[in-house]
Amino acid sequence: MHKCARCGREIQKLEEVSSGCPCGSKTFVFDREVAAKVAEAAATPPLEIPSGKNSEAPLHVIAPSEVLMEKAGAEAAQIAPSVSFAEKKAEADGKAPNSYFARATFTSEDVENIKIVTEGVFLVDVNALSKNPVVLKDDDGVYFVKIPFGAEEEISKPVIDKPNGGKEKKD
Amino acid sequence: MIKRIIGWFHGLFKKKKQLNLGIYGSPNAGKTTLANRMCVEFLGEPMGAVSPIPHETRTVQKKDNVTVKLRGCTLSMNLLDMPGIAVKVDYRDFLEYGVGKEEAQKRAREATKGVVEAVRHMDKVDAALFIIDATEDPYTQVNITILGNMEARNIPVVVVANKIDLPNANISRVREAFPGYDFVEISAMTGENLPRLYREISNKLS
Repeated sequence: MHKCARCGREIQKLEEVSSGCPCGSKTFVFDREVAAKVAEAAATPPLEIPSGKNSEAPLHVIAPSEVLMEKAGAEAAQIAPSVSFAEKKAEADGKAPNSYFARATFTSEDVENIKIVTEGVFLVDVNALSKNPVVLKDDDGVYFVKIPFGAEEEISKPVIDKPNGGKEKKD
Repeated sequence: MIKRIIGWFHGLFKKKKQLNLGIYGSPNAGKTTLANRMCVEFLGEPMGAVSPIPHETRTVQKKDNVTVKLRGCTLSMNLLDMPGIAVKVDYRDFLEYGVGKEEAQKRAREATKGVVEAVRHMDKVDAALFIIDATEDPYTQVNITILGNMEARNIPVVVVANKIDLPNANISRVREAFPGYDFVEISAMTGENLPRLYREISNKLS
């Protein structure tokens, strides 16, 4: 960003550098800090721009990260300001943040062996699935049971060879 | 040879295995009502509580050595009253019976646990009574799946159409839905046709 060396006015167009400042000066100074701020604002599109009655007030560009921090709460922002943003970004990208799985675990009290962590994200208790029918619990607390067929279980049992040539199914 | 002799001795002193008869069906089909009637008749004490709220029986109830005396023979067995089997347990269904939300959610969890327990017990029963509410549509996922499951496991089963004392009971509809099975229509509430059911049980277990 160029400023007039005499009056300090910030120039808006590059043509002004060649034509000169309205004050008559043709000497300009390049301000790196202001230039960096403008570049950052251009990289992150503004979410909220005051308009109408407040149009005379100085423009305040709100970056997306600021909005998320505000939503997550001041306390959360102080502890881990980047976690909330990362999670929100992961979710926006269609991925389940790790914290979703951290808070959804199976306990001995749970009947279900499949949990819906969030829309499209499931947690599976593989160990329980090997012993029990499929039991799914949805967000509303409704249980769904898939009853297996005995024949399927028989098929899944491994057949082991006996030394005398016969075969038996292992329980 | 020595192994054979040991096996013969073992068999001689081994306690004779008591046969397990499982009572299966959907919630509120009348399983516990039938189990209670049999237990009171042959043991002098009931099996468990009965309620209009579905999933009242949420754990497997067992009565050992129930001796059924029929004309000409005596049959001793363990009677297992299973929790009602459902493919969906929604706690909101209990709310309309005046149960609080927290209690309803607890009941739904226990009921689901009961369904799992009932399915797992299929490996332990020697024969089963499959109770169907004759006032309801018999073509349900539970009825078809459980009966198919028992057939796949070679469990002898008697299909029992219950609640024939009610005016809207449709016995022929249940019979036509499951034509390949031994079939008895009863009223567990009034005791109607129970001697015929006992004869069918005797045929299955003997």
